[in-house]
Amino acid sequence: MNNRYLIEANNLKKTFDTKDGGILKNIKKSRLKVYAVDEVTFKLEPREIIGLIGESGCGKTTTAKILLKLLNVDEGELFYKGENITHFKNRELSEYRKKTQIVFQDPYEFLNPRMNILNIVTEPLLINKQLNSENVKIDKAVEVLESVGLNPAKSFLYRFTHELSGGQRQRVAIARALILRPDLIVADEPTSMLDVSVRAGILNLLLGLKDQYNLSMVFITHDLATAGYMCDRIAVMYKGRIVEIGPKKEIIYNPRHPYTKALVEVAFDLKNFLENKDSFIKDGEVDSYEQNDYCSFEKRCVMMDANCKHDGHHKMQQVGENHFVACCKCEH
Amino acid sequence: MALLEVRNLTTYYETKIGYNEALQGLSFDLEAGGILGLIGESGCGKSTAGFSMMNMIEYPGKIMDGEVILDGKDLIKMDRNELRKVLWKDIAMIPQSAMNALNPAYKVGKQILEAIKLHFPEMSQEEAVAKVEHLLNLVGIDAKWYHGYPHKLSGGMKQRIIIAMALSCDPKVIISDEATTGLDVLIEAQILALLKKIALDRGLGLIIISHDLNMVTAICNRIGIMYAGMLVELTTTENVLRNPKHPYTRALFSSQIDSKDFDKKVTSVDGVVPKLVNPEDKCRFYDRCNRKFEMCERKCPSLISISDNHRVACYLEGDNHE
Repeated sequence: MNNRYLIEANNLKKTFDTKDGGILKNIKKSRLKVYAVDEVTFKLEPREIIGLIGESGCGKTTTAKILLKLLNVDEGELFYKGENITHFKNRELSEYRKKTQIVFQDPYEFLNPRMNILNIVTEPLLINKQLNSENVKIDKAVEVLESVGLNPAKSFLYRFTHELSGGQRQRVAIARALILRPDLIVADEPTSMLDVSVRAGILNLLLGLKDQYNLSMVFITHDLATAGYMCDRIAVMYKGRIVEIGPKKEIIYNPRHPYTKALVEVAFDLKNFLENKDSFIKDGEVDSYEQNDYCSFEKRCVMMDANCKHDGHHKMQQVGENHFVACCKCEH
Repeated sequence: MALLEVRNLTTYYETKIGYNEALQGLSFDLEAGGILGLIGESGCGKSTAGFSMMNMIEYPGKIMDGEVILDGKDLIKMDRNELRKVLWKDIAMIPQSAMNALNPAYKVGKQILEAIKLHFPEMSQEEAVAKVEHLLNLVGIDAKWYHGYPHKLSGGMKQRIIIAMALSCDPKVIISDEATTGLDVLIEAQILALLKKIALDRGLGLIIISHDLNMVTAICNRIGIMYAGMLVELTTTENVLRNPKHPYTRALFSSQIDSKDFDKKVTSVDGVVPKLVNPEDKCRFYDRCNRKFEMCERKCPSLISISDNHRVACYLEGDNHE
């Protein structure tokens, strides 16, 4: 392993047991399994933003949690700067977690309403025993609040979250993620709860911070337009698998996988999609309980034929520079 | 004659310090087969507008003024009993977070049946059940789900059930209040395609309340942009896309990501929505506007016609100065 990459994910797998099926199913040991993440492999360079795209239940957030070591994988390996961190525990793990932070989706829910902004923002320092005095605490908080565009920062310190608007809350959440100077920030749909008019501000802020602090980012979203604006590379996920990955311009202007094609059409030419819906995708929804050895998209694919059912056709193949697709119809 | 006429609809919410002017003077016409989109940020009065049109505002809300004329009858003047006969039969609503709108203890077929039985008491049980099954097919759900419980359905299917419900009494107008928010993009697009098809096939009037510009411009033929309780621009979709007039409309569009050029910076609309409790009599967009001048501070502009099918509430347009 070389150290060129910040994060390397190798063949990650994670399944969850369901509670479906009742007591008898338990005895028979045939509980249904949800394939949350299945054979996910990608590499992340320093200062790169990778977008994870897909519908709910496709494993975007589970992948992110695995990267942050909030979940353990069933199979596969995870490397951080060339070091295998798959089985990190305790002290090593807390060192790693300082370097990776997350910004959640809903700023109305995850900020503690009983803490003021000063304490919310500096809590990571407290946990990691980096706070010596009250002055240091205030200085650090002011510095980080200014960097996320909450000016004048001093006036925000002793406010509570209910006094802030949605966009301001999301900025506080970003400040809290930044205060430990991480290498990697996972942004889990950071703008989906915000109004369109403030969304742009948050996106621009994240782009600016990336340059300022040399951050890498995993940007989770279901909106391809946002991903196109934010990311360097985009990975499209479907039923726990990455079905297409490549530079954003390749994905958006030259999509190869039928699922990506449908997503691109919805995001950029919804009118055309509404009129010719049936040429893009079949009606139906994700069923994450079954997993095939062949293509997982078969039920909704418009290009589906008997060929697709051969084993192993979901394997990635290269179709362009850094552009990989898991579809047997896409010969290069 | 228009199918639905809304005239000067005004709804306030009572607070301890005065009225919150959540909806101020909403007026528009809706033709049969027309799809009108109402867009704006949260708190701009979109949902209040939806509920006011059905006269379903409850305390502390109060409809202060206005008319909603459907079929020559004014919904606002009706008493409870008259209203019961009209609601759902002539005007129906697909509520926000429709995914939670189904009763978990009843089979979905029964829930659709309920409204039919109530509004068409003369219909026999067999006819009514047949109708429900027909509706399920129409929204793309297998009739076997008549006997299914809501928890067995996915979000998109529940949404389709709610649409079937809204269609159950053959209404003339359907109001969809953020009906597809929270669904995945592909499912959302499929549901929208369905709604649009049904509206055109049956000649319904459809009002789509949403904050998603991309979605609204794709399916509506007319669009009303709301800001702080008022309609600031009302025109055809084409005009909104090609020739937006109100500074707020322009700002909204410049906050959208350009699919042709991802390097183009998007800009946000700075500032916050003004407080609507006892607001000053100035343009409500004044604090966030980049083209304001002294006129804007003196009096709130009203919605005036600047050309056919294009109405704007801004002093910069037309001869709004008087």
